[in-house]
Amino acid sequence: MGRVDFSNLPTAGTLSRAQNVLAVGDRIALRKGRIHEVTGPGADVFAAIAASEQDQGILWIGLHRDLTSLCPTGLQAYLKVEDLILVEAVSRGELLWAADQALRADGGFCVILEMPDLLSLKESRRLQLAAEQGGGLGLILLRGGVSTSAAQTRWDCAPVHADHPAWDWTCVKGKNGEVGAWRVHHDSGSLGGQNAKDTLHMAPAAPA
Amino acid sequence: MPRILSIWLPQLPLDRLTRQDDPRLSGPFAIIAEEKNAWRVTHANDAALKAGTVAGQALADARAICPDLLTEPSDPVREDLLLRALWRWADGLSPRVSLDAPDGLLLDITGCAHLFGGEAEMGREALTRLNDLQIQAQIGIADTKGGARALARFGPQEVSLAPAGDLAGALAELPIAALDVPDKMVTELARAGLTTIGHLYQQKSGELARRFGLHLTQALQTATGVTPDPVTPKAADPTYAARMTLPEPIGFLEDLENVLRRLATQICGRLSEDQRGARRFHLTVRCVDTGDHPLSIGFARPCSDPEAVLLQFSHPLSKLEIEYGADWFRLVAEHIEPIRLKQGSFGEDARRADQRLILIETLGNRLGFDHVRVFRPRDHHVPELEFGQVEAAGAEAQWHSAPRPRPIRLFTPPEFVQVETPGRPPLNFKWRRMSFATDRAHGPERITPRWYREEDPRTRDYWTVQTDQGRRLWLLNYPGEETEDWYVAGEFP
Repeated sequence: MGRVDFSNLPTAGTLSRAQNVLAVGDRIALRKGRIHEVTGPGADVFAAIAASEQDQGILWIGLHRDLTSLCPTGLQAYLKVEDLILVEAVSRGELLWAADQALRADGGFCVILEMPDLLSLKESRRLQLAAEQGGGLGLILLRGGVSTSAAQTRWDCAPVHADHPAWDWTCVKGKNGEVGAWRVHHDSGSLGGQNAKDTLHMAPAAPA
Repeated sequence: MPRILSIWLPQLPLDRLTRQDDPRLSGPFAIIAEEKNAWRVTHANDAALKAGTVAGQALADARAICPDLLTEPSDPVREDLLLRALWRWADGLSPRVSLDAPDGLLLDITGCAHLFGGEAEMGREALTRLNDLQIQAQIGIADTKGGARALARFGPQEVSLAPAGDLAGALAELPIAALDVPDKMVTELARAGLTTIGHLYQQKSGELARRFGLHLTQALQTATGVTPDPVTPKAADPTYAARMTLPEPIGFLEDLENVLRRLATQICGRLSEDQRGARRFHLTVRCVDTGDHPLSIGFARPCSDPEAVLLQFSHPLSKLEIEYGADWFRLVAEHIEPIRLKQGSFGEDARRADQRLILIETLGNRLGFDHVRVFRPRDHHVPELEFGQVEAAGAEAQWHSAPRPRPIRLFTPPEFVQVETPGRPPLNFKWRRMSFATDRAHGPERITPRWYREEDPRTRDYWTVQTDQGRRLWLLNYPGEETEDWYVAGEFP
């Protein structure tokens, strides 16, 4: 929902508007049928904005503590809460199984997985294969550090001190070489307002 | 004039065990239940009765009287299942059968008796059939429900019959307990010298109602047929179940799936004929060596599609360990609900809704349906109560926006903050072992809790704080408390 504008340093490659690419704003492209890793304290809102860009169902998979702290009255500014399905797992095995099933399912769901610890290469490869089969978008919020993985991209997201809500989104790994850093600003007037179209405004050119 | 046949099953819990050839029943044996804060005997077999045990006796007393007494706690669920099985069985006697829980059945036999050669013959026939099933019964036949019940329980013979039109005469000799009145009232009436129903006839009903309440006169009137009290027949719910027995055990997954497909096709065919669907399916696989293996699956909506049943069973079936094969299968559909016919998957939205439900079913069957949820808005002013989570299966997706901007993460309970430079809100503080400095703060937003509920009665002040480090936190403070503690209640994006 909404349009996202970015300023960035250095410039990312031109965005291909192919069918299998999810465009977040004008500059950032997340390939569908792939998994993407997100770290840092701003990971939630990155996932929410990315999920809102596609108009499919969204699954938020996590442990009890992750899902009970999630607040829809705050999320409503970024995504359609009625599209959101919460999946509570009680163990690491269930987390991975649920993410695998959701990514593999017909319908190309957007799957947000909150991972409390490291994801091994084998596990991320399995999730990657599942995402290729289902054609959805996998976003893995890594809470317990990063390791070698089969993910398409890895993003480090942090809120920054600014006049308006703003975040630095840094792509630290990209399989196709599309790394870059962006500062994303949020229109303060629409912060948490009605579930209407929000616009993320382009920041004045500032180094991220 | 209607004719009612009442079947009383006085020893139903014991009969249940007799039918299972329980060896304990050869000696003194009793069924016990917890009543009035003590374990009491509810049903005792002949040997126990001979030894002096009676129903209603405390277990300790019964053991003192009869040291050899063996007991078993009552199992109301299984007893009810047996009674319901008999309910279906009674279809063979009359088409109008109603349940008289916990230990009886009522049959409207108007116009049925001649098929058995008369009412008395019909009663004896029913008794013989029940005895063949190893179930003890007593039967009463009368013009009314109350009369038939009274005759079945207190009648002189196993099959007691009140001739048509002379119910009052037949009931006159019976004790007052035969009426549907509380035990306490029976005692009170006995004190007044009224012990049989016949005694009540001689009293003016106005006097009886004034002294003992309307309940007594009503019970008397319904029993004698002055006020109508028809049998409300309810056909037993049809069971959607199918079983298959094979001459040779099978063990390959493909073969199992073929068996399941046949069973599912049969059940789902019947379900869709009745325009119904089931929310749960149970499959029992009996292995030749390891016995029964129960498997079950659930659905997010009523389902009558055999392929969907097969799809959801594929995971539990693949987990099943079969060494020597299985030769007996039974599939039962439960939680039957009507399916409202609607236009089939047509267009993008319907297809998407289907995909969503299939995914919810897949996840719910493994993780439990209570672990797959959606948010639901609530009308409330306390931040953590503005929304709730409900099971996604069966819930319509709906959301309406809350009026105020809230954090994206809400910590309940709020997390304690270590204040380093005090202020309102604190200028420097530590949270989760990270140091923060307040740059800008917006607030307070004061929220008063629900004083009329048993919950935290403190007033809350919330501050939106932009820290120098970048993170935007929602700080919480309880004004008017002795210690000025600060908490992080949530984090804005």
